[in-house]
Amino acid sequence: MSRRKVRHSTVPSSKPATVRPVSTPLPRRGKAPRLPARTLPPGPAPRPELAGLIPPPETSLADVIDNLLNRGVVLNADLILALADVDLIYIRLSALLCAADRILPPRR
Amino acid sequence: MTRVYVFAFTERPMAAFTVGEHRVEFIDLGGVHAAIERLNERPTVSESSLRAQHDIVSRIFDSVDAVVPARFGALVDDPELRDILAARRSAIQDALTLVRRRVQMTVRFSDASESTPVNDARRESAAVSGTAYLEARRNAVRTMPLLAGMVSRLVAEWAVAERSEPATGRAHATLYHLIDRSWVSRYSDALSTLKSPGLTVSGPWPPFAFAPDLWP
Repeated sequence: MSRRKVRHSTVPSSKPATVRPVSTPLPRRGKAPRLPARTLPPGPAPRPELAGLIPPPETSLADVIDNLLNRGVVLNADLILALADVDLIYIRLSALLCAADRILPPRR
Repeated sequence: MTRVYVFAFTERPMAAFTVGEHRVEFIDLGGVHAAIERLNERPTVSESSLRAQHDIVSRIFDSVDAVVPARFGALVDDPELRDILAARRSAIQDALTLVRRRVQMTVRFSDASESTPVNDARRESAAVSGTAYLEARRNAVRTMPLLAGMVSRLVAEWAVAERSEPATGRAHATLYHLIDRSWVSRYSDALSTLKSPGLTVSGPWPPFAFAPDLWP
């Protein structure tokens, strides 16, 4: 049985960021959520002090995706065990944010 | 059961506000406040939902001195959220101190033709475990453009913190800088001297890239 461990919230900042949204339920293989491909509406208005640097709207969307899916505090984690590309077990680890020995009181 | 969808953590609460159909309120978690919306289900990933959340975080960012944004999809039970805060309060408070009155600037490098590997691929042969081997393999293909070093030096005077994300596959290399809110003009002036078509600067943003890593 092959194990495919998906660790979204466990990746330290020094490691490459994953693209998959952290806390969204993991899709089955081949069914990753995709943003609609269409002409993008203008993004939020740039702040005046940086208007000269703000790139075109599509870059703004790239920033939104990067900021919200790839950055920020992680409050959820997901784990999938798969066999032959079939996801068998899906576990949501919402509160598992540090090692158990750091949360639980020491055994006597 | 109603759950809480977390947008961000702040030092101080704001009055509740509404953005579109989203009613954002603040709950006190003992020294840290969470900007939340009461929801039953996690929103689906779509451009509109991403933009809505970004707008909400930006509005909070505009109104308070320090905000630590959460990633998209942070839907938890109320007790769960309190457990998380109890376990990682100091990390979040440290992050709030770091980002206070500061903004994130993002520099993206779309041209990776002139780039340098982050680590030496020869380390693969010295790997002592399978994990170490795979780490070395991954690092061998991660690159930062040479231009990144130039950018870092140019803004070193204003960047309080810097994070880098090497290019991997089709993903562009990115630098994130944390700077004081009053230094945005100076930062942008410094980078405007670099006239490279492969360089894209955006910001100021809420400090997404400087949120703490809650995993120890």
